[in-house]
Amino acid sequence: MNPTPKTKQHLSRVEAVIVSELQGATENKNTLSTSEEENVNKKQELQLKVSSMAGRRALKAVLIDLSGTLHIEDTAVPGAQEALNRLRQASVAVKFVTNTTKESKRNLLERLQRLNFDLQEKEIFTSLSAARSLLEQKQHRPLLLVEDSALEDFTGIDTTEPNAVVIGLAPDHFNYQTLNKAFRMILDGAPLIAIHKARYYKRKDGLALGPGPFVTGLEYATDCKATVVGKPEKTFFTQALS
Amino acid sequence: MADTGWPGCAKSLKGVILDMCGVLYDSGEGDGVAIHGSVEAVKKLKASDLQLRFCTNETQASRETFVAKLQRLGFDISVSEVFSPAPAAVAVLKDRCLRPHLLVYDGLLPEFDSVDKTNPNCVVIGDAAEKFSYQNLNDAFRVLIGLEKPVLFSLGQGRYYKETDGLKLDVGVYMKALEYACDLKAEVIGKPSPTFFQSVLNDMGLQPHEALMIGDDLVNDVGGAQHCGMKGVQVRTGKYRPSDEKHPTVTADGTCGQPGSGCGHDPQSEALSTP
Repeated sequence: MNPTPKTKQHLSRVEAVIVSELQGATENKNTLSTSEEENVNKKQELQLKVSSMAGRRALKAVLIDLSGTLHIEDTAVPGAQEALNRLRQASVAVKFVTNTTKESKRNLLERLQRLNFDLQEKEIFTSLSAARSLLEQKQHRPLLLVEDSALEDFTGIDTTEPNAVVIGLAPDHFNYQTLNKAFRMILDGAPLIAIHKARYYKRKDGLALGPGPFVTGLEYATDCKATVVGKPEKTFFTQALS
Repeated sequence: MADTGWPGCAKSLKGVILDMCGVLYDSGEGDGVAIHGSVEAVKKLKASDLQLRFCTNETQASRETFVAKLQRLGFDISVSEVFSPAPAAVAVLKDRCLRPHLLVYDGLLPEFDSVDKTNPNCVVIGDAAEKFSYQNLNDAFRVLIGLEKPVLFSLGQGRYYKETDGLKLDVGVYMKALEYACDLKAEVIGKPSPTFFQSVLNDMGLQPHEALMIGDDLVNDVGGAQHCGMKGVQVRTGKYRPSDEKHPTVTADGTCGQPGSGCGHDPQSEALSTP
């Protein structure tokens, strides 16, 4: 998952760096096949690189991906905790960014703290945060088609008489009745906001449809384009840095 | 010299193809409701010299069932005059030795009785309505993603249709969803597939320019018919929306009826006044 040249261009404009190089040390997302020593060396190398960049270019913020970068499921990437601690000593703001649509910030925080990462909830920015940020900006009242576990990240947002549709990974909501409701709202002018458009994901019992197919279906039904707020969309990064 | 524009060309027409849902009736509770003026219009057409066929993307019920429903609503119609996607799909499956995983409304299953459905090597989706649950869609997705050469047949590609309680998502939406999920293109059986329209024309023994299609779906009825060389007229009932009259790519040869009530006179009476 490397940032595209276009994304890098956007980011250099505000002097932030996605630490996707960090992923170079954890190339294979599904297994920890790279040796631990190799990982630690690569991280130290990166740490020096970031610090010197910070000095040279007045780097102000670093955005760090979570799954596959700091941790893989419930296992920390070896050496990542130390790398983070050293990064904290540089005078840069640190934010943790992820495309999750199922987990609230609190869940993510608890998991990362259990793995001995030093971070606070307010430093976490998820694709759900990006959606919330957009809703607040445009003052939309959303129909939230997101997992129950993700709802807490929308606490405080008015959902009465909804005038916007937000779609995340929510199999429980992807039934005919609910999608029809969303469809009619969009036909009436409600904007369609997609947390992301993943085609499918891996569950314990096999592959399962992600939100992407349902967003695509609704786009076809209504002849509208969804606003996608998750990575790698520009909206995500500009909201994270605002 | 024959006038090839509408409505002058009506004088050279030899056949009319009528869409059903949204033209003859609106579906909904029970048998649904006949659209005002449509029963009379069909009577007039049958009394004329014009050949008449019915062409529908109805896939919630077998032909026998929905023809019986229309007869109860007062229409003079028989199964042999009706063309629908399921029988066309069965012919394709048998021709290509394909065994389908079906995601269709229960009422359509009898149309597939003669088809081998074991060890499926393709997926067929129809207008399954409430059966478009996440679970069922996932099952269809898993069949496709597990095939070396996945084949998806979609019985029509409509975006939505009108029931008595409002607009509802049609099979095309779920076709697009599975296309996106599996990165493939579906094969459409039914309107607006040219093969489907041609099979109706063949049955009537007519050339495209001798036939007129009347429907409520601008893209699939009117656009599909025009693409085959027929004239296409849109009625202001069923899934018609005013924005259809300013569509970027499809322009109906004619639009008739008042919103909500049928097209009982135009263009059938124009078509009926043959020299």
